[in-house]
Amino acid sequence: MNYIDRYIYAVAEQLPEKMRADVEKELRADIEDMLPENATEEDILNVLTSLGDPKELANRYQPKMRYLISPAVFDDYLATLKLVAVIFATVAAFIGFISNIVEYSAVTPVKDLTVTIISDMIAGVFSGLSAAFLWVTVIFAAIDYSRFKKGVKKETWSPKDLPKIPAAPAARIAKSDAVVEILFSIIFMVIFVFYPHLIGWFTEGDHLQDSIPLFSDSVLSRFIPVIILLTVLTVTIAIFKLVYNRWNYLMAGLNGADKLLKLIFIIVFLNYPGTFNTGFLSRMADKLALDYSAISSDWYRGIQLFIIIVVIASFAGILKGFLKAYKNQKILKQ
Amino acid sequence: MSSDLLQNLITELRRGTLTLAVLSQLKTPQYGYSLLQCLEEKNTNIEPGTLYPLLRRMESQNLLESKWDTSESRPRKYYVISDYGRTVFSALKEEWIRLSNEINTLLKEESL
Repeated sequence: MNYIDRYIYAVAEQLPEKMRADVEKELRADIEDMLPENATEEDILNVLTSLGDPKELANRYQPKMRYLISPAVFDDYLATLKLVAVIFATVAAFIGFISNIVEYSAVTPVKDLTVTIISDMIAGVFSGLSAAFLWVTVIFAAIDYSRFKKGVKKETWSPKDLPKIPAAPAARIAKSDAVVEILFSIIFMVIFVFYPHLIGWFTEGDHLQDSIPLFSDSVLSRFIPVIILLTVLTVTIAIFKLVYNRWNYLMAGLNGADKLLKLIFIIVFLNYPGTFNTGFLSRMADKLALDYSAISSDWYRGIQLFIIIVVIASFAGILKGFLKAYKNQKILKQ
Repeated sequence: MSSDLLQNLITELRRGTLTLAVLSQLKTPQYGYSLLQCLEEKNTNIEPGTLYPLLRRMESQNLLESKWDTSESRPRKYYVISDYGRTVFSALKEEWIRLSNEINTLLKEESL
């Protein structure tokens, strides 16, 4: 008799609480009906065998979602996973590299440093890849699960909903451009937020964190929230670019807004009183055997020149987006 | 390998007809095992592990109604076709006749 109880238990434990008791009762009656009077153990085993694997039986009572990532979204999942894996692995490898450089002191032999850098970068790649795999999978599985719970609504599909083919290759937003944008903005943020002393004046034998930084710590720390926000914005817009992958006025507008905000940030930051560390400038004057005031006025003139270049580059980037959107629109209308 | 494929195809082919078979036999109330025997007598073989859960699923689709009978020594759950089930049954039956005619025409043509 024991086998029947075990079988029913094995089925019931797979079922949701609310239907469990009723199924148990019904299944017991069904099994007992199938048994002859004074059933032997062999009879019982035969009946249970004919009912089959309890897991399969339970699944027929209550069909469950059998996919972590369902075939409907699997292609999107793979594409996202590839992109995120590349980004995470690169950033993690970069951090593995930079953290060693920063902690480097002249005492460590270069050979040892190389070994640690390489091993940290490999470890970074692995942890980046596993993090990418974990997050992309968790997020896709959660989206899939909620779709399953809600029941997929079948929207009536019409050929009119088909996306337009990008007019010309030039009208597409290159995937690599968007990925490079994401990578650079994250790496830039990591340096500014975590390793600001990397941008500084080094003397031989210095720990890198003992360098004389180019930017004053107090001013930089005031700008850190803005830097993080801008990075999030750039990454978000780059993701939009990856998803829509063609230039239209909306994409050009987003791209323009992103570049304009970054430009404003650069102008404000570089002109902010006290952004540049006076220690850095006087060290430079020392080294070049020049007068501090001469160096400093040249320096600020150089900065203005730099800003002009950045302004031109930014507007070129903004204009490029609108031009491509315009061309794309024109060809589509023909 | 090929016999696995054949088995899968046969299961798939039969799956849709099971609902029709069950609906046809439930004009009078039956419990799981009695329905199984009733179908077997009429040479329709269905695995018990397929039939029992199917009854329950059809009940949740409102095709069947159920009632526990506890008057006898062994409590049994009786299923019977619902009004909605009757409507669905007659529509399915028509569809089945049409479909089998279509397929038969194709198969006859092939055997010539």
